[in-house]
Formats: sequence, structure tokens, C-alpha cells
Amino acid sequence: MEMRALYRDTGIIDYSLSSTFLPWLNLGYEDFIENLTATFHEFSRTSPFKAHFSFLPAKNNHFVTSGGRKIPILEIGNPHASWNTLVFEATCHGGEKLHSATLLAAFFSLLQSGKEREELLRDVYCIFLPVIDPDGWHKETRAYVDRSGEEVRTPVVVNVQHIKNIFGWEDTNAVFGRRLNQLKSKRILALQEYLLHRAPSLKVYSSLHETTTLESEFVYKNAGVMILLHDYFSPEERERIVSLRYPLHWREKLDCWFRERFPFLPPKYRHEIVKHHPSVQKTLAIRNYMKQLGVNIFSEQFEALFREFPFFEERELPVYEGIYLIGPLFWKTKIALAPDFYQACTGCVGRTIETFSQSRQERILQGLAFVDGTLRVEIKGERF
Amino acid sequence: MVLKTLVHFEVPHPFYPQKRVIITPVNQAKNILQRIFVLFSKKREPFLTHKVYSFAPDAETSTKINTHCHNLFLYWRQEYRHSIGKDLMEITLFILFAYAIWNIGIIPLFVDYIFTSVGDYLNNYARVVLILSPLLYIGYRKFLIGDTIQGKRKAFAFLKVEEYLHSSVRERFIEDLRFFLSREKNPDIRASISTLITALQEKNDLRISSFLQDIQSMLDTKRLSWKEEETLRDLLQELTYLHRNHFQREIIEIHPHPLLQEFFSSPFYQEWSNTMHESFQTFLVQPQKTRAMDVAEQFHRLEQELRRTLHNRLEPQHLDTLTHFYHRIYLRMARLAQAKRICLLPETIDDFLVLGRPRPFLSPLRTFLLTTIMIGSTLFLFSLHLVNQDDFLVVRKFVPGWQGIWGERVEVIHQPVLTLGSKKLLVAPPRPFSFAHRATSRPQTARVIFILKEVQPSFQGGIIGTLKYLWEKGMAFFKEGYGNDFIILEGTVSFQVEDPEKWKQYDFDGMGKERLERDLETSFTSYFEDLQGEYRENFLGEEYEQAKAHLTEVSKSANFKTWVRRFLYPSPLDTYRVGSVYDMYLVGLDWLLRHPRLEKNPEWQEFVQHEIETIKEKMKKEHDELIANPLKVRKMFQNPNLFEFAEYPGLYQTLLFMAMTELINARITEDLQKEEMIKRMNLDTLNYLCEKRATFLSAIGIRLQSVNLRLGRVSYLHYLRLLQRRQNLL
Repeated sequence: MEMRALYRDTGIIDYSLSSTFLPWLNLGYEDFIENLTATFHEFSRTSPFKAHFSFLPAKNNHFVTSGGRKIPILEIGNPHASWNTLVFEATCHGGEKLHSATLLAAFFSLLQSGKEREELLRDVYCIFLPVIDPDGWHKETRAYVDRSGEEVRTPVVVNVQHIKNIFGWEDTNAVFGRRLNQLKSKRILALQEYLLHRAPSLKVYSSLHETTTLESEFVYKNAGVMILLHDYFSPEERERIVSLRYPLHWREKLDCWFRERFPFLPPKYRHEIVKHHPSVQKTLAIRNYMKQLGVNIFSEQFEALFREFPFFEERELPVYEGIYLIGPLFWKTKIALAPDFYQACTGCVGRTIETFSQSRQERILQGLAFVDGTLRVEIKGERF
Repeated sequence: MVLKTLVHFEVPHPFYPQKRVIITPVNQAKNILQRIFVLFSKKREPFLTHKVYSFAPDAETSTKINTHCHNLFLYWRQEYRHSIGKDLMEITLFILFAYAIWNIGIIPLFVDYIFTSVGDYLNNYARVVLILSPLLYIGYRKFLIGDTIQGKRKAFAFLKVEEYLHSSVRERFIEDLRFFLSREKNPDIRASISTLITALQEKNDLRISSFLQDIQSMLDTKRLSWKEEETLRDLLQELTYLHRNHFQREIIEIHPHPLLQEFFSSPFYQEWSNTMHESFQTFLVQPQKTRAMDVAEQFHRLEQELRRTLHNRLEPQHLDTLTHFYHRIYLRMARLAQAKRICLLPETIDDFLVLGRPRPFLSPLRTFLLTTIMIGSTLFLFSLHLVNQDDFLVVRKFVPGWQGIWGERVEVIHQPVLTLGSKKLLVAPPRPFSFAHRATSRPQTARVIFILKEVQPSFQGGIIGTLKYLWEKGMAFFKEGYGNDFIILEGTVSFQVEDPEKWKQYDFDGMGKERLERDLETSFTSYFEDLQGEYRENFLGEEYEQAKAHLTEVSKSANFKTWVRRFLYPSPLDTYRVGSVYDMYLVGLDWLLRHPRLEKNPEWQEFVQHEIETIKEKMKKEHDELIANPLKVRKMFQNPNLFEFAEYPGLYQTLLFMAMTELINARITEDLQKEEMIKRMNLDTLNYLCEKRATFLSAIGIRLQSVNLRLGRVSYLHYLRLLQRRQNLL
């Protein structure tokens, strides 16, 4: 990956911090929290900006997981700018803890002095949740939740041998969208309660993920960042999007080129329906910014490969290169992920990024570029 | 009795605070009405309840709902007409496309070129299919599969429901009661039902109320059978419902909604409403992109607030309906902000709020007008012909005939309606009223050919040459024989139309040039056959041994196998070229037999007859013997020996003749390399054609100017296609 911004401070994110927190991932969770507390205090002493470090609250005190661990929350910016509240979350799946380091790097970048950061933090309120599943972080595996709301991390999920959803076991990300609170785990309820209370006018909810399975080491070798957009689309719009296709072949691209010049033709490709959606345009701007920095975007060659498989069912729907929408597999089975839940409750825009098999530092750089792009596009209104 | 419910919301108008707007989940409403239509078709007596949740109901709410529902039906009807109109226009467009293919000559030529390149040609049947292809496509799309007209008719069949919902249920209820009465035996119940029927007929509500009380007391006090009791309870329930709703099928229920009241009277909404009113008014006065985006952002804020406030409090589908309404406006305004030109007319705002999209454009009248304009302009376009000053149009018209219903008349049009520099504009009625094509008085060329030799494809060099070579070798591999080429003598005959009035008869269908090529080629062939005869005479006299030596040489080559095969199993092409010597003898003898002089000489006639039979017998014997022994033939191929062939005189003589023809053609080819010889031959051929075809040339009004001979090469396929085209040319 050739990144022009490698180890450079772009004014908002200081990419030189990208490797600072990487060794922390090898520590035990308690040591990690200890380091985080110490570093926060160190940075906040010198920082011109006010920031807040706390743990997820419960009724009387802090929320503690079944493994006895607390969930850290980092906040920065103007608490009165509630209309511009941005939430970044990582380690939703315990086995994907790399982006905890990404969010720490982003947070501590924002604590550094700088004119651009000063201007930005005047208008934004950012909440960073670097580890939302501390038990999973510790055990390096994802959690599954049964229909009574109990979280299970045994056996450790290796590769793609996930627990099958026979008795209502569900991935922790999908539990956010369960209709009844009784079906959610205590941890997820506490997180939801905190965010809905703390950030009722949430603007953007971003969730950072990585693909860590063994198979992906072969299939997605050096694949770039994939952005999954979670926004409101009416049922009719969704059906239409599914019925249309994504242009892959050069003939289809040529067709798109003509269609852009003759807009009276009925839509044939997905992006023609969603191109005017502000959330799609912003996501496109974020992707373009990341491209400008030299970050690899999830290539459409993978889509071309998937098309070759017989009976291939699209789980996510590509609309632009590297930008996907939730597919019918989710909305027909009424599976709502964490960003979908917050979208339904607050009307915010949700984004999930997925990073694939590359060096850990590269993946952190990709995550940082996403945070950088989100802040620039959503708060500063920059377009790329 | 089946009850269906449709939920509406009455909320403040987002742009004008003093007004209100009704929100209906339009697609859900459509689904419910479709279901009602199905029930109605099955005589299941469905009823529709409009449940209206209002933030502050008032006296006008009911009227508003009625108007709103009527508007919805009106919109769906327009949408239906629009979609059918669009289909009709699409069909018209494809018909015009087919018409264009029929008219634009370059299209069949191009397709013909593609066909030829893959080993076929565009015959008349394929040409008709080509013209009809747009119609086949649109017929398939609009009448058979996918988004068909029939499908749309079915999808909008529910529109009939509006009439049904407005009808009174009283008559149907009286009929049911009469039927019940005819079967009931209990005198008390009979008397009560008769009273009820009278009350219903008189529309006396008081008596109906008292009847309801009577029935209730009857059920409470009297001893009735189980069946009677059940029937009366059902009757009581249904009648109570109908009486309460004034015997209407469509019932409106208005409920104040506390959550809506709370939200729309909240300080947030009050502030939002005031800001929005101002922003929108400013936007209407000065429609700018930034202002549109400002309005859009405010709607997004409202949507967010609605979700935040009412999530988990309002039913999810109700919240979806409300948020969808504002989200739609948000997207619409955001789209306006991105548009090149902002156009939002104040009078279309209400349409947009109710329907979520602009009102459909096409009505039956507009469809008719647009279709007529499309057809008219196409016909007009194809009646114009922009041609050079020397050109003219040959027009074939259908006119009432004398002996039949239709006769044909061919005209020449050369008077322009407009002159544009070196061009002129001619007008002729378009097809199918007349068939016009361009002809010219400028010099033109016709191409005639004479086959000299069949050869294997050879490498020509260059990219095109290499591709052609590989293609032909491939064709030779897959379609034996198709890969061969012919060395031809190609004559380019230059001619000029002198008398358009004569030429128009010959060129009535635009095929005049092709016809001329065919007709000149016969004379061209005669000329060169005479020339071949002269060469053969010389050859037989002086170089007979050379022919035999050549045959021996050929017998060792790969060509030899083809020659023998062609003799034994002739292809259709061989009948044009060689045939066996026996065939040639038979042609001559047959001519002799039919010669007028021979008719008077029976002795000679008998001799010729005898000769014909002998040759036929020999030919049959020899041919049958050979084809009955394929193994022997194979051996002869593998190790050819001329002595062995001598046992079959027919085969041997034919092979010898072929060898001799090849040598003669080689000599002609050699002579044609000399410049003086070519000049002489050009002149001789021109004189020959002018002399032999003088009458013909004069009859069609043309003058031959020159002939240019050159050696060329055509593929088997090209030649075959030429023959096929000529076969179809009358």
C-alpha cells in the first residue's frame, strides 16, 4: 500500500500514532486499561482540548461484564454540539480487536494541538468506544447470544466455524436489533441505554471490523476497505435496488456512462437509484478521500469473482466500488445490526467498515483514514 | 362480512402551519384495496374502515379523508393511464424502429455483411425477420413476459373497488333477509323479519332501533332452537354494525392520538415549524440550491427527532409511515439541491406530499397526440430524400388497376422541392404508400465475373490477410469445400443511365444494378467460353501430350482426390462448372436430337438416340461400379495410378478434360498479365457486349462506357452467395 499520508499529520489525524498502540493488543485487558488510563492522563495534561475518559455506566456504578471487565468510553469535543455527535466503535467481535488500537490512535490524535483540530472540535462531539466486548477482547473470540440474552464465548470461534443459529444463538452484532429488550444481553442493553441517553441526536454511528478467518487470508489477500452503509431505504426502494445490478463489465460501465448523459432512461444499475441520497454521497466522499490518501478500496474484482459462483446470493449489495448496502438476507429476515438499530432509533447514518488480510499496521492506517474521512465529510462538509 | 382497516394520520402541513395534511401508507393502501377487490370478486362482502389518527381532529377531518381517498383513486387511475400510455408509446416507438429498418437500406447491408463473414447470407426470409425483430421483441416484452400490459391491467383492476365502496349495503341486506324469511318457519321470527324489511325499505332508523331491541329481548326471554338463536345473534351483530355506520361499506373512524398531539405541540416542533415556514417561503421566492439543502436538512432533523421521541412508544409500522413521509421530502429537497435547475412549482407541493412523486404526465389524449406526432414525423422524415443534382427517384406506386384491385405504376421524380448547394431535396410518399429509391445519371459500375480456377486458400500477408486465411482454413476444416477460393476474371463494366424513363422499368425495385450484372454476365461468360474454345482447339492440335503429362502430375497432388470426388459425388456447384465428359456428350446429343433438321432424318435420329442410350448406360455402369466399391475408390485415392483409371474411360476422360481446362485457364491467366493483352481484351469485351446486347441495352436506357478486366480471387462462400442472390432476383 502506498500511502502519501503515511506517518503524516493531516491536520485531524496524526498517522504517526498508527503503530503506537499496536503492542497494547498483546497485553492482558487489565494492563491495557491501566495503560489507557495513564496515557489519557498524560495526553490530557498537555492537550489544549478537553476530553473525558470513563467506563460504561450501570444503574449505580460502572457496568461490569460477566468476566468482571469494564467498558472504556473516550469522549472529546464540544458536548453542546449534540446535533453533531459521532460515535466510533470497535471490537464488536472480540476476535477483531485490531481496531481498538485504531480508535485509540484516532482519539489521541484529536487530543494533539492544531488549528484544524481546534476548529473541528468546536463543532463536533465524538464518542469513542474502543472495546465494546472486553471479554471477547480478552479471549480473542466473538460472542454469541441465546434467546435469554446470555452471552457465550465458548468454544472459541476459530476460522468461520461459527456457532450455528439452531437454538436462537445469534452473533452479538445482530443482537442489537432484537425487538424485545428481554432478548438482548445485559452488556448490549447497557451500551444502548448509555448511547441513546448520551447521544439522542446521534449523527453518525461507525463500527470498525476486520475479517480474521483463515480462509480470508487466501481469498481476500490485500483486499482494501469495504464500507457498509446503514441508512433508511423504503421497502420499495430496497426491492428496486435488489432487482437492479452492479456494473462490472466494461460494457456495463460504458452503458453507465451513457446513462449519466441521458438521465431520462429508466434506472438499470443500483447507483442510479441511490446516487442522490445525501448519505450515499457522503459515503462516496469518504471513500474518495481514503483513495486520495492511497488506501486500497475493496476491489470490484471480488464481485466479479463472486458472480462466477453458481447460486451466489448477495449478502451485501454493492452500489459503488467498495460501498455496500445491507442486502435482503438481512432485511427479509429482520436482522438489524448495531448501526441499523441506532439508525432506527435516532435517524442517524450508520457505517461499518471491514478490513481484510494485510499487515496489522496497514489495517490500522485504513481505519484511521476512515475516521479522518468521516470527520472531514460529516463535520467539515468537505467533498472529494 | 370481512372487515379491512386502513390507517391514516392527520398531521400539520410541514410547509404551511395553518393547514393539515393526511399521511397514508400508499403502497399498503394499494395492497388492502387489492385484497378487497379479490374479496368483492368472490362475493365475500368486504368492508373498509379508515382509521384516522389525528394530532387534533376537527369537523373537517372526515371531509378531508374523503377527498384524500378520492384523490388517491384519481392518482392511481392517472398512474394506470400513464403506464398504459407509456407502453403504447413504447410499442409505437418499436414499430417505428422496425419501419426505419425497412426503410434504411444500409441496415440490411450491414447485417448481410456480418452474416457473410460467418458463413451465411441475408435471404429474404431473414430480411423480413430482421425488419420484424423490434416488433417481436416488444411483443414479447409487453404481451408475454415481464412488465406486460395484461399484468398492469390486473394490478390496477382494484380501481373498480371505489365504485363498490360507495354503493349502499341496504339492498343487499334486504335480499339476504328475504332469503332467510323464505326458509324460516318460526312465526314470531318471521313477523319480526318482515317488520325489519319494511323498516329498511322505508329507511326508518327508529324502527330499526326498536327491531334491534325486540330481537335482543327475544333472545333473552324466548326459548329458541340453537340454530335460530345463532342466526339471530349473527343478524343482530351485523345489523348493529351496519346501522351504526348508516349502511355504508366505507367507514371513517377518527381518533385523537396522544403521542401525535404531544409531538406536534412540543416546543421543538413549534420552533421547527416556524423556521421551516420561513425557510420554505424564502426558498419559493429565491429557489437556490443552498436554500433547498437547508430545507432538506431541517426535514432530516425532524425525522431524527420523530424517531428519537417516538421510538418504542409508537407502533413501529406507524412510526415508519410518519418518518417515511418526512424522509421522502428530505430526499426530494436534497435532490433538488443537486439538480442543475431547480423547478418546484408551489401548486405541485400538495401532490408531492400526498403521493410522494409528481403527478403522472400521460393521459389518453396526450398519449394519442404524442403517438400521432411520432408516427407523422417519422413518415414525413422518410418521405424526404436528399440527393445529388444528377440523381433522381424511381418511385413505385400502387394505383387502382384495371383488371385487378391494385395495379402498379413506376414514376421518375427529379423535380426538387428545395435545392441545397450541390444537393436537392426530393419528396415521394413514404412506404407503404409508395416505394422510392435513388437512381443516378452519373457513371456507375457493374461487376461481372468468370471463374478460371479453384484453389486452396493461400496466405495473403498482413493482419487482415492472415485473419482471412485462418478463417478460411477454419471454414475448410469445419465445412468441407467452403474454405476454397476461386481465381476469377473480374470485369468492371462502367455504364451510365441515359434514359431514366426506360431505366425505371428495369430498376423498379432498386435491384436494377444487380439485375444488370446478372444479365451482362451471361454475355461475358459466352465471350470467355468462346475464347477458351479457341485456346482448346490450339491445345488439342499441338499440346495433347502436355495435357496427359499434367494429368499425371496432378494425380500425385492433393487436388486429385478432390477431382475424383467431384466426379463421383458432384456438389451442386459442379453442375455449373464441369460435369463429366459423358454429361457434355449428352448435352450435345440432346441438342442434336432436338435439331429441326434431324427431325426430317429418322436414320440419324435413330443413331443419335442409340448413342444417347449407350452413353447413359456406360455412364451408369461405370459410376455405379465405382460408388459401390468405396474401398476401391479409397485405394485409388491413396495410391493413384493412371493406368488403373484408364479402366474407367468416363472418369479418365473427365480428369483429362479438367486437366486441359486448367492448363487453358492458366494460359489465359498468363496472357492477362500482359498489359497490351489486357487492353485488347478490354476493348474486345466491350465491343462484344455492346454488339451482342445492343437491343437489351437500348431497351433499358443505358450506355456501356468501358470494361476493365483484372484477375481476382473470390471465396467459395462469396460465389455461392452470389448465386443464391441471383436465384432470388426476378
